[in-house]
Amino acid sequence: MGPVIELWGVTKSFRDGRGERKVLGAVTMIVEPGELVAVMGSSGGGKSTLLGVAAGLLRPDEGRVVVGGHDLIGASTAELAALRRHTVGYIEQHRNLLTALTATDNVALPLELDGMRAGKARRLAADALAEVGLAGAGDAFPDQLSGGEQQRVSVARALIGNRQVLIADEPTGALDSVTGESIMALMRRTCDERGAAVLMATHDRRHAAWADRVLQLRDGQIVGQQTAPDLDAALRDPNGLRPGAGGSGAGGSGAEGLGVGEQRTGAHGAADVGEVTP
Amino acid sequence: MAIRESLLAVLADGPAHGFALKKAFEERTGGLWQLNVGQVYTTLGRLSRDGCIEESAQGDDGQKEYRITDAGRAELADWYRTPRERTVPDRDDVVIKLAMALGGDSVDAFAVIDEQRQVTMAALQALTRRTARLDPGDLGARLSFDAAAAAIEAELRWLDHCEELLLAQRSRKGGV
Repeated sequence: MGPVIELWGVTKSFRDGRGERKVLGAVTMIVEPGELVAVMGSSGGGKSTLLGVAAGLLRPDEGRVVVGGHDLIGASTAELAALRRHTVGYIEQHRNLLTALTATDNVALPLELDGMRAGKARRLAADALAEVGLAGAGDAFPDQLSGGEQQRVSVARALIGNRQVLIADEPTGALDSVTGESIMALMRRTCDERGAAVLMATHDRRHAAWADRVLQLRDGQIVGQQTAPDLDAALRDPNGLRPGAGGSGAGGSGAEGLGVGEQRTGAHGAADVGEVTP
Repeated sequence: MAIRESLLAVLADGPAHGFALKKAFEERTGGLWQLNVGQVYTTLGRLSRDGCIEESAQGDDGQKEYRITDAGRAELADWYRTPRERTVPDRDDVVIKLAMALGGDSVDAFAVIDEQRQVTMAALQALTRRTARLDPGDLGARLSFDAAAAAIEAELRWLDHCEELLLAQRSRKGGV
């Protein structure tokens, strides 16, 4: 199976008070099935825009976007809506759930909107809640759940109906560090056991470190992408870590082969660094 | 590294032989740091010389056992009671490298930051995987790993801070 998210030379500008501002400048990246990719970078660096483009919520100015095999350029609004119903789940920091519905009904909603009978949708929703560790919480309303539990419900809803792509904008941003970590463990498991692909933005370095790859954005450009070192090599020699050494992330080497890495040579090339570290 | 006091801390819970002490140290800290047997026996020799421990009769397996003395307990209590002094950290070659890069114009400081951030983040990724494998009930191991992660995270935080300072300076100059 090929990559589930592909961005090729994507640019995006927004008009603000001071005129046109380029938020993404020719970003190329891919995410493979089973891969957890974190996007970091300072505020205004383009993280949310990148995620919005990958989720089909924003249309890029230039470039090509392919998600789950669907080319999003030229797709109609209805086709983009269908993509979000069948292929891509999207969650944010908070307010992902409808407060008037129980956890089960929240999770079942995408299936019911898609025409599934309520009984069957609710059964699948109950299974999905169990999968995220909330087997007993189906009848609870969102405001009866903790922030971490609400995010678990959001993850369950985002992936219901066998959707294999989860795009998450600061999913742990409103949580304390220990709860945030449990959400990261859940996303890690989602990738490892379900083969789902997760693309998430975060400003929390500890949470980003759960990812197979960490993309660093600056001025709308990818200026670095750290591939997790091979775990077993790391266990043997915790001091000898180098990015990309083992390539536990399936997409790591593939992305480099696609020239993603070339972006970081441009203005700030590796050769420059060589001058000070011979 | 507080090997001497750690050995006393383990012996405060009961007599043990040298290899068991090495294992207990590594278990309590999750194997984050390895002790070599030579280090253990050298330290035990000094503790014995200083009257902090005594060698007891041979254990069941024929190995020498060590037992903590009152003097040893007093030294251990003193260690727990006394916070470690903190001063300016040791000279850090990453800090110096970046300061040198910013002090002149022979290199692009952004590139130095980007390269270092990759290596430092990779170390945090590896540590996160090791931490996820720990037994959740093993709090001592867990907090040892968290201390290492916090130190690595601090460097990442500082690198991001340097980047923001550079970006702010660049926009003041009306640069690129």
